[in-house]
Amino acid sequence: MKKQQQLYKGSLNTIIMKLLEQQGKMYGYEITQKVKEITQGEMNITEGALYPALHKMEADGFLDVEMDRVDGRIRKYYKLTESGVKETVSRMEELENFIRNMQTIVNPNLKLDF
Amino acid sequence: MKLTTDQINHIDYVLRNDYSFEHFDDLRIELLDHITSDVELSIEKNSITFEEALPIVLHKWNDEITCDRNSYYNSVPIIVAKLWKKLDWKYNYFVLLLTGILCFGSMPFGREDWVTYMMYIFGGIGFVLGIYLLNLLRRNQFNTVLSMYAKNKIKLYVGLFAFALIANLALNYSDGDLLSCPALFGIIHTTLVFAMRTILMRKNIKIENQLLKVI
Repeated sequence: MKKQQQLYKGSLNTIIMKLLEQQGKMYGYEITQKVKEITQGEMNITEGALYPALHKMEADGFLDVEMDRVDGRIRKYYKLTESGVKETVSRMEELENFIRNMQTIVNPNLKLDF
Repeated sequence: MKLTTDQINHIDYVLRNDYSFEHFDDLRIELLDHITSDVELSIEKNSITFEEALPIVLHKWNDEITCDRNSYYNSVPIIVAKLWKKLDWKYNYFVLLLTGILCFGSMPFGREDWVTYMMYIFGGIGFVLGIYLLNLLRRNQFNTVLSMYAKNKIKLYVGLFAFALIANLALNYSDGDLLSCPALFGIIHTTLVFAMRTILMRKNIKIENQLLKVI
């Protein structure tokens, strides 16, 4: 499980960006829960990894923020900027290529269609 | 189960006082929402009280929200120190490298008085930028991770800039020429520091405007 987490680590930004592309806007806690739900608990984004990644992508101009008052507290939502959308497409292509290549190495007889 | 305002205020108090988040309004607000959501889920899932759930959730965060006494930034939470260390590459090390290139790279190509002229042009830009930056810091309404980074050692840089500029002016005046520029490194470096921190503070205005909408 721990080794698997290491494999996911390199794709953290891409995962976050893909989720934001699908959902429109999300807040930090929602991202961790969504990932847990989709992967049925297999992948766990730690808080220590999530926020530095979000703040870095915000500083790089890939994410925009929006704040709202919800249930007696302030919530910070993240959404993709225009350059963030382009970056997501390019990162997803890279990730798909990576998965395809890994698949070819691990199981040459299996074909994957993306 | 949704937490009450008092319970949310208690978490906010803990973050401010037990975990040194007093001066990082933007990050504290974000963590407050995350921790509150986590506590709410924990109460619901495990049928425990708020008093029982909060320490469990805070324990999960311990590696990020405590201060690392061995770090260079040892008085701020680790999550802030991590971001500041990343900013250091762009706003400190790169600036130092650029200063070195400008200082030592310009020397072989021009006459000594040209280098001094260039230094004073930088000094003029630095003076304007310095005043603009100090004004941005003065008008700053929220303490954020970026604004606190921009404020860090700013008095030292302003003092260094003023001292370097005045000392060089006095030297040139007493010599009656523009051949000496011992303050070249200091003036160029502080001017670049002011420029980079001004960029940071301009970014910070966007964060402030978001905070102003909800607070």
